[in-house]
Amino acid sequence: MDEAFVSLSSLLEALFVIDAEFRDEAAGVHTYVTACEVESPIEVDMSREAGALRLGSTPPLYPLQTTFAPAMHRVRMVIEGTRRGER
Amino acid sequence: MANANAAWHLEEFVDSLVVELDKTRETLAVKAINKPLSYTVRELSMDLNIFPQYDGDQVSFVTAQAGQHGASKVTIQLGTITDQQVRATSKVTGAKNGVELNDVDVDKKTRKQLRRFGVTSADDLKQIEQKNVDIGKASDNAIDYVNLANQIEKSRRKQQPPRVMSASVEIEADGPVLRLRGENLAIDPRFAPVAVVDERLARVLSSSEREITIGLQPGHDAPGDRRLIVAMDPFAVVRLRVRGTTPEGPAP
Repeated sequence: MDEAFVSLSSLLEALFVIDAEFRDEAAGVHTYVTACEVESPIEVDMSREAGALRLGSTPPLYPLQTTFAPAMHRVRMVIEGTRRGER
Repeated sequence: MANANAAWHLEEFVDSLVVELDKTRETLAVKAINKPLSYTVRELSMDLNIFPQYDGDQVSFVTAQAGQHGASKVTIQLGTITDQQVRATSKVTGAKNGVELNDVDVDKKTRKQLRRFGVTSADDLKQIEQKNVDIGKASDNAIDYVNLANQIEKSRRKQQPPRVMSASVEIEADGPVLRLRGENLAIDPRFAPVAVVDERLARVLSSSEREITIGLQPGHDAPGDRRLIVAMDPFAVVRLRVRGTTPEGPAP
């Protein structure tokens, strides 16, 4: 995989940092992120390692208009939070 | 991108995507350990700009790279499903004694043709047969059904190989018999085992999964080596050299 790329799972994990917790101590209210949807253009690099297909990806690398435009693909992921014990 | 993108097949791309998605889900699960909410991936989709290629056998794709125009777009969407829905809508794979066609020694052309029919296991083929579909005709005689059925039986037998654990000569009322004991011996009731002792056809008196009794001719019970061949069915043949002993010890 090209060094500018990371595995798709690493990219998705980085996109979903949802550790935020909003607290209003005075009102006694805590607010959590219960769902999150991210859609982003990505560059993709397909390579083979030991015969297995590796899926490399990166968000757009350069905010520049270049003669050869990079080929942009798109990824969309939706995650949902559930309270413990609920399904 | 430093290197040209590798060409890929849809099946292996989906496999890679599922692996990546599983890793993401595991990370989300770990992150949620100390939180009141746990997060799960509900949907993942990817729009890819690709150039399809067809080599006359399989379709493969090459992902578009910088400066390339005119690519086709493919959207792959992974949704979520409950385990109950999976059980209700999927066929069981890896069943006990089940034979996957990938494990059967058939030529590439036949395997390709079977995949086109959605046949991936011996059970799929059996279901087609039960519906009186002539798979040979349906495939313009590209599939030799008899040969395929034999190969499947061979693979099935390979999963249950015969194991001979002991062989002994015993004297019974009708004369001497050679008794083989073991596992998975005569497991197919459609075939009666055939035995040859010292290049002479011998009578198989009884057979079961754990025991085969062979009637010996006069002189066969004498000390010395006996060459024994037993065909338990068309796919399991054992060859043994049995050494007779006297009460005093091994034969000279």
